[in-house]
Amino acid sequence: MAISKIDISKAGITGTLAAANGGTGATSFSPGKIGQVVSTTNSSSVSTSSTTFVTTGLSVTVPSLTATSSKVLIQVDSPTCYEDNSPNSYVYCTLYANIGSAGDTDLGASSSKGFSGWYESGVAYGDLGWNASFNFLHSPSSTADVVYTVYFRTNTSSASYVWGLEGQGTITAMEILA
Amino acid sequence: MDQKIKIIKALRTLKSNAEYVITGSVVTEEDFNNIGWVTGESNGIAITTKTNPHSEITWAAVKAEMDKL
Repeated sequence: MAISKIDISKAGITGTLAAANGGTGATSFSPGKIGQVVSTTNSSSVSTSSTTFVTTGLSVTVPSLTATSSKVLIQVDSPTCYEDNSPNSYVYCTLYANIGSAGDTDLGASSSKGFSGWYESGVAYGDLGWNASFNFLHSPSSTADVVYTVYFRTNTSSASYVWGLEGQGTITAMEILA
Repeated sequence: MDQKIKIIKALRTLKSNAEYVITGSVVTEEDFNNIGWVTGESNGIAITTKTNPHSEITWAAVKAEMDKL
């Protein structure tokens, strides 16, 4: 069967391509837009054996959101972290949001187990390095400033973790306009 | 060995279930006195005090353990 190819850049084709003909049927296109991007790096170190969340010091402020319908995509990459010899233990990393200075809210799992972390079983080993990275799409439903801060904790006080043994962590927030 | 590793190993040796928060390294007694000791929680976040509640954990004992590493 003969196949004809049309170079639309030269043919000047305009208008709507119906879905039946392989188009979307859409008469207009409204792409999502990035309202603002803010990012922070931090090379400070925090060590803990706490079973309740403690701040890593890695934080970013998204100032004055454009609309209450805006969403915020947060991306977190930890620095190189360290676990002391702590078999059968977890480290949990989470995000707290403070919207308009109204107080901190944990955005992670309701079980206080956060977004990401590390688990070490009872296998014999020496010391371990670890890294945590995660993304979260937040809907603040507000135009106020939002402060996002990374926290971490262990599941047992007999475990010891260092956030930021070496290197630096990064947190980036992007406002996605509706 | 990194000082940040030495301090957590020393604390585990002296009292394995003590809950603490350390910012940076512990090299001097002044650094030791800045360790936050977890006493409770609020909204899932640790509450800390600079007043050390663990009699087993003194600067002398911590330094001795760190010097072994």
